[in-house]
Amino acid sequence: MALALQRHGGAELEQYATGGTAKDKKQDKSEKGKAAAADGGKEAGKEAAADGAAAAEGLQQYVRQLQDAFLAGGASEGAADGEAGEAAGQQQRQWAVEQLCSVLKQRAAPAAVKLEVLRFLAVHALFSLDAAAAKKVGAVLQCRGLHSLGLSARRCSTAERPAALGWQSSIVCTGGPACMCVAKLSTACTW
Amino acid sequence: MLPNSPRPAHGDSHCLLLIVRQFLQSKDAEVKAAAARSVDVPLPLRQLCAARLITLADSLDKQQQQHAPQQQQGGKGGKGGKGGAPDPQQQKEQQQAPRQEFLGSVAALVGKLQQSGAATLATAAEGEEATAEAAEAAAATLQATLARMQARMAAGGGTPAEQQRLRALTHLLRLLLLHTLADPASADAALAADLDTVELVAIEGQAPQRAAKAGGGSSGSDDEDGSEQEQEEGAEAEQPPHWHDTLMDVLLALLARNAAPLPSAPLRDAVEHAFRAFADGLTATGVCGWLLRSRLRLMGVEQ
Repeated sequence: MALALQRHGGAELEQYATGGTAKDKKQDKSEKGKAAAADGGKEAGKEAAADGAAAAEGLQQYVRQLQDAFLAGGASEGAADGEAGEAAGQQQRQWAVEQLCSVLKQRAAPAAVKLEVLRFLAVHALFSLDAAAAKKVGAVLQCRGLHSLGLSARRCSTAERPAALGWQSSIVCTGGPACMCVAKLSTACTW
Repeated sequence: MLPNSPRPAHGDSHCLLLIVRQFLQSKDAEVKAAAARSVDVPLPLRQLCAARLITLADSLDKQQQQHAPQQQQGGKGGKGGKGGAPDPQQQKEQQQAPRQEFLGSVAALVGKLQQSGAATLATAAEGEEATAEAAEAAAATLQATLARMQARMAAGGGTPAEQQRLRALTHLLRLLLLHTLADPASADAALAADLDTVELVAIEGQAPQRAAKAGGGSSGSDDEDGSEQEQEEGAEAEQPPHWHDTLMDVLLALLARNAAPLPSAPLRDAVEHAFRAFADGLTATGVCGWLLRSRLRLMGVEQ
């Protein structure tokens, strides 16, 4: 892992290169925790739990660093311009993906960390997201949230009035009689 | 208001609006968080992410399934054990910890992003917008079927065999959804419609004719001679095929497809589990279809 980090990762990622030894320490301490519990000692068990929480936090931080490396794509490290730079960027992203997958394979990793990695992979595997459109998602989802899945969400034109939407104002839905958007539930609906 | 829908009381509608608003705001946060930490990447990298996603999500879910019965056995053994028994408090914590469905969470996120309007499917090559639209349509059908099945799972009840069928079919649909979106060229709307029909009849218990009208699925997924298929479908309009035969056609089609560049092992494994879960309903027609397909493959004839 240390060699891979030297090749692909930045200096800030090298602090996590000793993940193997930390794992051994964690295993030793977990065994100590079991023995203490069998003997009735509670303090050693608390120390093991605290160490586990610290390891989980460190792992989450490592995942964040890997995601940042993926998002940066080699642009931050003075990479060469042109095709060589792009190739180096893609190589770094591939390395980051493989490292994220290695996190998923660790059984000791918390479920929340694994889920975060899977969601990150899902977004970049399937979609191209528009951050500006996502900021308006609040108003749009008020209409689309209860659509039956067989209907196209574009039919309801409440999304055309994001600035005017509010729970106190009158909401008009023009999605048709089968539309089950939130506007229909409001007593102020004028459909 | 809908013409035939009952008009809710004012207090009830206000409470419902508050609940819906909180629910939608949580959806907003996830979509915004995903959009804030995303970047456009080239298609080969997307395919790599998709392949890893499918393999690892499936693997994590299987690990959960393997650990769950082991924990139950450990709990039972602990109660009756003589010496060196595991800590009962740890066992209780393990048993009370909610089982994480990784593939289900990914499928739910995919649905939220699709419905948000801020996400565009980016797995189709340039110039293949029609393919992407077809994939999105097939994915919408799969999402609708999944929503019904998840609602039924949440409601609980049913015999263990019914629960096993539900879990097997849900797992298969989730994998198929990811495959459809990750590789739009492999999307098959007829296959999605067939699965929807199977779910309506086998799980929901609807009448076959009603399910066939609702699903609009065809009897097969191959498109060789359209005119002959139309004549056959016309002749079979009064008697739709048995739901198990439709399911067998779907499973065989999934086994025969080339999933490259995506991994085929998780999908094949899910097909096998679905076959085991529904094996008790196997018909003579289904067995003949299976044997015919196996024979053709042995003879090296590709359809």
